[in-house]
Amino acid sequence: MYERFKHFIYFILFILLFLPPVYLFLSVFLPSLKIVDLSSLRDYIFISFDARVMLLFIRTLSVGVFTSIVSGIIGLILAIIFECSDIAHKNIFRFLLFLPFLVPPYLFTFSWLASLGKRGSLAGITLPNIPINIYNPLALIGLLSLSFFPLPMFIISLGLRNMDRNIIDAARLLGGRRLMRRILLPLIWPHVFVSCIFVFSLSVSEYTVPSFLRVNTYSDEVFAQLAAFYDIRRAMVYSLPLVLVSTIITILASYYFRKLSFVTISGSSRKGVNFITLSKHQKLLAYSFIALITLLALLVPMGMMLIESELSFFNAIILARKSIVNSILIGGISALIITTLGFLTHYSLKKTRLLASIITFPLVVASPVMGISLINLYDGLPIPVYGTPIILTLGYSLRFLPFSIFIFSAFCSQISPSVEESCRVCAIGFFNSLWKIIFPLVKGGFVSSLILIFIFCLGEVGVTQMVAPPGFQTLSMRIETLMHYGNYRYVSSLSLFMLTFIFLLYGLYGWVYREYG
Amino acid sequence: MGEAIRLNEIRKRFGERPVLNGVNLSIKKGEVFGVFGPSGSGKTTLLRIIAGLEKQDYGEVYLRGKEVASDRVFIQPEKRNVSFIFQDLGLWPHMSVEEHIKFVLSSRKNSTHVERETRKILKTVALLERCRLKPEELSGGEKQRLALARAIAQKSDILLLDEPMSSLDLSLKEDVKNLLRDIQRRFSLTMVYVSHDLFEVMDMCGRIGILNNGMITQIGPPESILETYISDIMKKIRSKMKNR
Repeated sequence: MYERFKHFIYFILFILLFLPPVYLFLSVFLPSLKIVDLSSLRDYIFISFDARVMLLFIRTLSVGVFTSIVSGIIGLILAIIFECSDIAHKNIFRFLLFLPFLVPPYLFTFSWLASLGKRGSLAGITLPNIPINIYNPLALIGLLSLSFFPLPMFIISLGLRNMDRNIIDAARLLGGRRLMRRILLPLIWPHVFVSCIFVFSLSVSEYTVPSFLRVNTYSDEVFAQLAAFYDIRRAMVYSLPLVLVSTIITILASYYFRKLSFVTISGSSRKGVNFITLSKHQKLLAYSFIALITLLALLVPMGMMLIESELSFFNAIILARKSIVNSILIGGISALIITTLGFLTHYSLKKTRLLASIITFPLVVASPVMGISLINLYDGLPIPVYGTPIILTLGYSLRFLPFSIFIFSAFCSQISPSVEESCRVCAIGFFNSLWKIIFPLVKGGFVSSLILIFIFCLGEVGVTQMVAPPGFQTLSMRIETLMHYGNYRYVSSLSLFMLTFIFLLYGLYGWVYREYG
Repeated sequence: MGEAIRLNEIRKRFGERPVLNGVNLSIKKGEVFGVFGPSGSGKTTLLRIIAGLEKQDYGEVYLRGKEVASDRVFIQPEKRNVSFIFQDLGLWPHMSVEEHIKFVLSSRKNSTHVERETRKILKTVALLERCRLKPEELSGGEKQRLALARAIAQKSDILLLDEPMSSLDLSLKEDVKNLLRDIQRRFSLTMVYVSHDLFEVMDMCGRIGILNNGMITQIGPPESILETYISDIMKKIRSKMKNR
């Protein structure tokens, strides 16, 4: 039964995750699946030698690399402060500083634009001899880093928390500096590396923030080919280098996962032990750093939104009520489906190397590419997917299934393999053990995944914009459209509504994690 | 008396590392057989292969005279009808003592009188008073008894024990040993008892096999095993002293 179920999950994953990009590839090179289309190949060669596109590609990769370095450094410092030092109230700070990751990056970019952009309220202000210019790649790297640093912070924290206490205690006897340099950093290096890979992928596939900052990037170009010129084939051809980069990253990550294991669980957990005692000045420095990041990543953008909204929430909400209902419905249904699939996928494939690839691959595929691959596959098929909200659920599954699997991995790592094996030797049926033994043990993970995926679906705009059926609008789409029209008041009001909703859900997640995590 | 377990030429590798290098073994029905060996000698892998939790690379496994694993057949663990006590016990943390037993009993095809049988089994392992508690609320010895009760509830005639007392102190070990002996006699169980503690295995088993470098190097009654073991150690000490 277990084997048959595993094959069923393989089939679902193939249909859901791999068929759209594979079919995209085949449609570009083998139209009608008969012969190699020379015009496509010519297109492909043309873009390979086009200096503008190459420049865009290199710029996008550079933005990805620098964003991952900056977010990795911020995340590493915060993780060490929160997990190893003796500062007070760190649980509150940690909880608060994960929030920027849940807020769609375009919302906070908009609030920065509303203040420092060309028509922004602070546009005329300049520092002594330095005019403030937010429309440049450096600002893009800064804003993306402020959105994505919680991911490295979270992954590195997880690594530090699960580290064998005996290793740390043995190293503490050697002294503080050597502990940090020779023991701690090398041991958490895999976590730093993996989190930087994730940030790189997210930055490369992000196209809303670059388009608002008027910094042309490769993903933006892919989107423009489809949305502005409606040239699906060229968009597909342009997508291929991104798919290639994604594949290389996936292979690299899988290879790295195989070579370096995460140092965990062999001894008692190090949870709650603060082995770095900070002096008064060091504490002040740590608090200042936390305050600066909180200010830049959370408080300033929210404050700007509040000012720009001119307190017209109710009007904005009433006008956008249909989009809000659509978002909640489609987000809720998608979150439930993705979470269930995430649980079953993790359960079926946890012992295989395929899981690492599944976790990584969809994360590194740009959202316009996902959108194109879905349209390409389902347009023309005699099943009611394209042109219906079902395609949105498929798109969200493609984007967020890895996050759900990641959450279940974190929860399931606490369960001994013998708990499940004892079911097998006790002759307990497959579904019985899944439902009565495994599910109750990961129900906290299930609720957490449900909430987090719902939050992600709520703010998703990349795939949504491309595949949403005509006449169907979600809240994120409405905000994006209003942004382009420059309606700052309504955008701020709706963004604040979305933020409040996200904060409430995040609070609920915090409670669930405390109760069951 | 017939054979309960038979292993023919069992080989197993994990990656490049060979763990079992052709193990041959025959255990009679109702026998308490001990497998003794140092850490990493393949003891746990051997038990897992018998239970079907691991598949051997080469060789055959027979249970009660029936072929259950070879290059032709592989019967899944849930269909082999063997009980297993894991080193970390593998208790279900969200279920109470009573629920553990009821869950196993009700999963059987002919599950009648579940309530009555549960009480009977819990009485056997002296856990009736603690039936509403969850594993985390039990002491080390009680957890061990719960694992044993769950194994009894399976009503299998073969019980595999993987270092079952590694986490217990001396006095608790004695209690659990007595309980195991009592249950083995009462239910005529065939037991395979794996440990790296020779004296524990000698105390429990009628016959012992020494597993070294993935092979059974010696099989015999406890006395002869002890004799060889001591003479081996003495030889090593003498050769070391000579080298000095």
